[in-house]
Amino acid sequence: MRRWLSRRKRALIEVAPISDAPPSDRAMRSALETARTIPAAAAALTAQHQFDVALADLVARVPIPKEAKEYFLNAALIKGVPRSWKKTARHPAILASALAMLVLAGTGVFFFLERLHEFPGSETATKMLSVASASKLSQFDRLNTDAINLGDYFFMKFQLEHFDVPMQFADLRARGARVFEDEDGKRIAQVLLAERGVQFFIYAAEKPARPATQPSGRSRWRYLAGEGWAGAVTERDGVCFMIAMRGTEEELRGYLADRGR
Amino acid sequence: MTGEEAKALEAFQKTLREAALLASRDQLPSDRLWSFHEARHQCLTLTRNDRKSENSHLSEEAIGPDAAMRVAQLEPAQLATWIAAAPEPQRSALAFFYLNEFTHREMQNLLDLKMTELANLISHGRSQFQAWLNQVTEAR
Repeated sequence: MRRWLSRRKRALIEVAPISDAPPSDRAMRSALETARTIPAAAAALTAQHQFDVALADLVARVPIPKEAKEYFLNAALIKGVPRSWKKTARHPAILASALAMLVLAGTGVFFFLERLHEFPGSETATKMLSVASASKLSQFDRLNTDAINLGDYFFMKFQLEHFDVPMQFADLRARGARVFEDEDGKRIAQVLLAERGVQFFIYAAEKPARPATQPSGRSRWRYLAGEGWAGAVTERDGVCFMIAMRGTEEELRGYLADRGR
Repeated sequence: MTGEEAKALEAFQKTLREAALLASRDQLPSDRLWSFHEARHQCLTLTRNDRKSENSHLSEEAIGPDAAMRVAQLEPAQLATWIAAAPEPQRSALAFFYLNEFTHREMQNLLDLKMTELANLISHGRSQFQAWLNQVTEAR
């Protein structure tokens, strides 16, 4: 009777749901729809359904032992308690995930703070602190001039353009100057001042700062420290000017504040 | 499944005990079919040494037009006894199917059967029951 249907659909029809609600299974729906289009199959399906409904009704009337019924009456009492957030938080998988997230966040914050202290030319500036601590007067060409003249000096002697000293240091006396190349071949001008423990470094910026980051008329100083020295770097016209001073960053900040008045 | 109320109750209580034990260890599966898996296992264990099925040699007959009316004449206990006497896995298949609680995929999962195997068990079960039904109701 059902030979018009495929083997798969015949199998599905044999286990067709007893309830009248449309089945959620797509294959089952398709098998039933196909069977209903074939009169002989539809009749057999109807007979099977009536038979199954009658049997299911009979099964539903099978008496449940009293002792078992009591469990169902108290089912609400033994309903599982939802897992509290504290218990969930103590689960090893959650703990491991939280720890991993913390480590990632900590690493992220660490790198962010590191980047906060970095600026174009900061790598060179850090090296210059070592150079400053090891420099001797004998390594310099002797000078005795105001710092304001150093821009012309570097241009005339070494063809270094814009290697000027900011006006706030114009009155400082320079005792020596030299130009050397760092390990990257970058030319760096170093100035030894009459004022003990203070030096200037002037070098080309690695990447010129965006104009918006530098308010006009005021130098923006970036600080660094190392080797017992502190440094402050500012950039103008693609040239970095660095003042290095023996001592701490705080002392240098105070010094610059005094010079800026 | 067991054919005896006492055994059914024992299987039910063992299932509950197993659930409570797993719950106390925080290992109770969230799968809603778990309890039916466990209940079937308990029933099979309890009826393992029962005498062989009487239904296995039953003849088969096509579902008659008056089948529903004949079924209506039966007592629930008669049907329960008949299903309990069926051989495994037909017994479990008929019990799960006529509980009218599961989709065919869930029944396949519960019984670990292929679609065609499940269909065959149900189909033969119907035909055998119809044959038995014809005998029982004709005798009245």
